[in-house]
Amino acid sequence: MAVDPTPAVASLGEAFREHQPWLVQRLALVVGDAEEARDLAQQTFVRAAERWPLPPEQDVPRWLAVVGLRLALNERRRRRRWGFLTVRETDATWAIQTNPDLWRALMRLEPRARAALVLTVLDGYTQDEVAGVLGVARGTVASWLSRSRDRLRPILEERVR
Amino acid sequence: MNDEFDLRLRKELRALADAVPTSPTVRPIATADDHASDALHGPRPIQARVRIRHGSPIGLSAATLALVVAIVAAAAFFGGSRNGRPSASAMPTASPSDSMPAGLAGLTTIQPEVVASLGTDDLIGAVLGPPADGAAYVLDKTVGTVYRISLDTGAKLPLIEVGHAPINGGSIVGNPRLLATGGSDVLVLDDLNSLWRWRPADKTGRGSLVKVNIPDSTSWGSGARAIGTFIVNPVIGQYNLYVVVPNANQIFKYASSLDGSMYPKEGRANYLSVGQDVSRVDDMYVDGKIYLVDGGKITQYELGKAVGGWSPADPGGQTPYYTRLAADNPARDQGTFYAYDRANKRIVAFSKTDGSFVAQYMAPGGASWFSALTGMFVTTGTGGTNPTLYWTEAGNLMSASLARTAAPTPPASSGSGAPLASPGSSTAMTSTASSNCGHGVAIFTTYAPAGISPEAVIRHLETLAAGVRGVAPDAAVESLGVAPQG
Repeated sequence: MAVDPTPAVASLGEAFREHQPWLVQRLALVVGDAEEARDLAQQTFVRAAERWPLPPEQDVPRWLAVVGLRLALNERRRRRRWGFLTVRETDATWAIQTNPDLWRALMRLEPRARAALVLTVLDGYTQDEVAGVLGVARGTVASWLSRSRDRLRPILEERVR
Repeated sequence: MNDEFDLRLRKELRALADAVPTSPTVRPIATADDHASDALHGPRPIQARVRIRHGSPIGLSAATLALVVAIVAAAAFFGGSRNGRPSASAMPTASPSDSMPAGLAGLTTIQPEVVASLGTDDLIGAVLGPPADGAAYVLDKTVGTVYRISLDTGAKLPLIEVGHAPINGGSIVGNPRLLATGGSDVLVLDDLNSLWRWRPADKTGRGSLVKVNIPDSTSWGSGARAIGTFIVNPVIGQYNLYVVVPNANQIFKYASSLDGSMYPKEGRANYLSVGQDVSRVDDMYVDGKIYLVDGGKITQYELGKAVGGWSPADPGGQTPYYTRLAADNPARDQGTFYAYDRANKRIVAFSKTDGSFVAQYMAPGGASWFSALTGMFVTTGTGGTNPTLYWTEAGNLMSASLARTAAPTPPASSGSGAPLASPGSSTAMTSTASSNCGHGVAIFTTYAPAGISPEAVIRHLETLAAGVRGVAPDAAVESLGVAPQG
């Protein structure tokens, strides 16, 4: 077996392969658009490339999640405020075909609330951790989650009936 | 019931997440309508692919190309790369800290403590907020955000983010680049050369953000190296603004309008009596005189001219390479200034009065602190307590008490010696502490992984760029030396 002469670089490639799919998935649920999520994931990995290798104590998935989500939320804010940067139409065929009701309900939530929901429900982050990632108070996260659950509950319960 | 709901929610969210098409979508503009069906057609020639960065003024391709070009230029020109503080300056290529010479005069080992961790490992500056606030402000380049961090609790609050709109409307905040404090304000210069003024209302993080109008700021180009301020009217908190502009080989000095709302072009003057290359300036400190950290050396300027014969004392060890400067007393020629010497991984304290050596500080043996410090400030000790150093490094805001364990032994050569100050000449004017990130156009030079040849770095980035543009991940990592999985 050939010895890899550039292990640091190789590990970036591995990180890209290992983490890009779930990062895109999370970002797509937050921004509501798979294409934009891929763009954001690209930006995140470019930032990672600029910093690579990350310090050994750095948890790579967490770093990617933090940077990706912050980029996503910044991008949303920027688009809203730059009048000429219109929010383009999204292609959510994949979501509509999978679970249209849940998707629409999700998209009615505030993006940061969606981010909090995704991090806690899908990835098991604690509310404190989510507060750290999103830079808000823990109480705010708790409030978002509570409201989000309230809005999603009728959708899911109706599906059971 | 709640658990059942959570389980169902998790299951359905997971299903939704699994349905996200994660493979890169690559399509030429001509067939952009064909959106859903072009998930993976296999690698195509890069020339034929066009990535549309929706809503972004700058495309990824351009950014990546700039990244590669900058690294090529930097690697070729400076002959080395390093992680840590970016600089266009010629740097010592060795890693001197591994063999720290013993017996340094006045050496004290400090105990670093983490004040706050930002997690993104890309902090590029730190300043102490105005007295009304007393918190630290740090700039996180990764996400283009300035955080307020409480020095008491470590609580961090994102205050100024790229994309923010100020209360007076109009412009949008670009990517923050440089930080400084002035009077009761925190100043942020973004990459659009817009200067933003954050004025804290209290110690809780509330305040207001407005854009300070500088009509000719576009003349600075894209590489302003540092900003600083100097209070000229303490009563109303009016301060002059200093900007290190390599494009003009100058330090521009701006006098503010009476209401402090703008720095008109008419109020601009060239500080340097003779223009000079300032493209290697890493930091600037203003206290009536100006201290420039330029190419690893500290130079004192008065009335636009370098003060001949003045230089900080030699603290011993290998040839210092200073990149950051802070002081514990804003009054001219009073107190101590502290310089970060990256070559020796230490902080060196000098007397502001004459540049004589005071003390030096290092982290405990084996610790990696002070290898890539990116911003720093010092708070004055009160009631006989030691001053405290705060600095940003490796994604953390750190602190350490600057105790002086022993009277320093004067090093072999002292500073220029004779006090150059005219006592009382300007001490009625108080300056503001400023510690700038000094982040210039050479930001990319730092990011080349250490120990890898420029060719390997370029190949790596090109491959990554290709990967993120749409080449299948396996193909993207192929040249990185790992075998594709599956």
